[in-house]
Amino acid sequence: MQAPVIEIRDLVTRFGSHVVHDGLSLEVRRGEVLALVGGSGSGKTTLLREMILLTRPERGSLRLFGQEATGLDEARARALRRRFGVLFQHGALFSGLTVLENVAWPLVEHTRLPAAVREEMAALRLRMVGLDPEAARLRPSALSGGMIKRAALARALVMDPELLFLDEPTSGLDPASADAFDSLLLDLRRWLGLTVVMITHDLDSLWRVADRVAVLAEGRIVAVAPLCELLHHEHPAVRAYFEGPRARRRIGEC
Amino acid sequence: MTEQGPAPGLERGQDRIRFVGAWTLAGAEACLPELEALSSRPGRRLVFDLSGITALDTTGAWLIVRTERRLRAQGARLAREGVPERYRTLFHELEQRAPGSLRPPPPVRDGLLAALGRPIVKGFDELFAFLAFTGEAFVQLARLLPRPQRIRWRALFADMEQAGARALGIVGLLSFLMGVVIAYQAAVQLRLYGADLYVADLVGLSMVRELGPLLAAIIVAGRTGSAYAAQIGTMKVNEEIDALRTLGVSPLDVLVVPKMLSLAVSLPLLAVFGIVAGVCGGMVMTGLLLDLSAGVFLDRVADAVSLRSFLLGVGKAPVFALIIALIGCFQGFRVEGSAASVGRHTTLAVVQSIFLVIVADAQFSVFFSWLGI
Ligand SMILES: Nc1ncnc2c1ncn2[C@@H]1O[C@H](COP(=O)(O)OP(=O)(O)O)[C@@H](O)[C@H]1O
Ligand SMILES: [Mg+2]
Repeated sequence: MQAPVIEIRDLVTRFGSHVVHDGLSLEVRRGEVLALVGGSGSGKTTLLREMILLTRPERGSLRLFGQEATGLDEARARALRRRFGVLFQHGALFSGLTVLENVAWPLVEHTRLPAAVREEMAALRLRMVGLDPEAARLRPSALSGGMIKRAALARALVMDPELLFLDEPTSGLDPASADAFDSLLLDLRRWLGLTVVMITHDLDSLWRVADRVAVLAEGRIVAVAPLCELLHHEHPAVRAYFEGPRARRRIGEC
Repeated sequence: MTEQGPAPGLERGQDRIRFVGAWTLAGAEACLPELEALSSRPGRRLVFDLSGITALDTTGAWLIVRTERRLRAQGARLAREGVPERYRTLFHELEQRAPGSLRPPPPVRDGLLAALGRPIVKGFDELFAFLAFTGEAFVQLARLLPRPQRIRWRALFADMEQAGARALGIVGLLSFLMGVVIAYQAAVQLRLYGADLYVADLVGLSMVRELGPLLAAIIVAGRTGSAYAAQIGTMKVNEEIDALRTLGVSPLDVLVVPKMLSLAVSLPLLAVFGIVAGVCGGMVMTGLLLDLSAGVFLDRVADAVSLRSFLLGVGKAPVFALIIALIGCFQGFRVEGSAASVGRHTTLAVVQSIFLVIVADAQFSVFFSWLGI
């Protein structure tokens, strides 16, 4: 069995007196799609920010690709960051650059490929995420929410990362785009052996792409299991999350 | 950046090219020249043998596909063999998604005439837009004044604190120093004529009539005009302005009118404070340089500065205030989309408001001299 890609032990996070994570542990296996669910404000984004080395937890250990990742110096953190891609909740495209420049930006920073090749790579990612070539020259302010999501995904993919973090990737997408997004994710995983950690509220995504679902509640991961098992889980927070008729409908398909 | 493996490479045979190693982004720079060096003559049969590939990502696959395309365009009869099973769909996908060239059409560039004309047209556009904005702001102000309960007093007082009270320190300090500087220059010159006493007249009048209000206005333009532009600009980028509009609230009511009123009150007060500080600065400097007691100095200032001079000097401040508030807010509303645009318009707000304040000051001088006051 391979070492987990991400290994979190006894993580504690606090903002002032507000305890967000209280002894949280989680493992993400190589090649899996792990979905992170939980109520609003339960600390999903904060956990993601800790995994991508933006926020430092107060206590606990975080290992990425088998290396200890808390308290890294900037150079080591940068080397680690090159190995993963991040899709932020609101896209976080650079507003001063065109879409194509946004996507090509990591290549400009981290490689010495010629400009023409860089542009091709960026354009290829835009095609892969299903964005019109006409949109490539637009600035982010001229894009719709769904287009921003796709462009941001293209940017997260351009370095061919081993690990991809997605914060609510399908929220704000129309159903067809959300389905296409799920398919893309599955394809990418098959081709590249990609490991994915995604925060999502989209039951269809959970159903289709997530290998395991982790439920965050009370500052801990209260359950990690394939969706079908979670639907029968007895923890009250898990039950509350999957109580609604939308989730119940899925039970039949298990 | 997927699995690290042996470096990518090509084993070139007669009509067979074998790809070996990890064809990933990490090795792309190294193998690109070798790929670009491949060429073919028309009709040549070539086989790309991919069975030696240990790792492949989209970057590597794309490099192979684009090379194949280039060679085919040169007329090669090319076949691909030995593709590991799990990469089949990746190649298929690339060929599906990226038929033909991937380069997006280049942006359209202006011709000489357009390059010349566009800024001019833009300049006029901006001028008219500013006039329209000013008109709108005053109409809104006139609508609100009879119904003072609808003025956003909370925003107004908060702004007075931010723009006025918190600027006291910097305005006071700079005006004090300005008083010192003027007193020094005046003392050096006037001493030659034995007209020591007139240093007080000079410091008092120049601070009251010109420097007090002007200095305060310039500091406020840099401090507060820029803040207005940045605040409104950021709100515009976040669609907060649109949200206000759809909630049936005029952004002018909420954002612009309180700022106009608050600056129109704060700036004259700052100017008065600056004048006092400047006179103090002059007094201290004269005390050090010349044999002039503070009492005598202040008496001279009181004689020299009539109520009329004071009113004419400080009376300019509300006009400066309106210029600064209007330009700051206007530039904020001109922001389009990006963070860079916020920066650009903030700069413009400061430059334009300082420029217009000085122009207005010069016009006041011309106007007053024409009236003979
Ligand atoms: N920078 C911050 N300062 C203070 N509190 C924060 C900060 N970021 C997040 N929080 C708080 O932490 C909790 C978790 O937030 P978040 O991780 O964004 O939740 P979500 O699960 O909805 O993504 C919330 O209660 C939020 O108010
Ligand atoms: Mg969140």
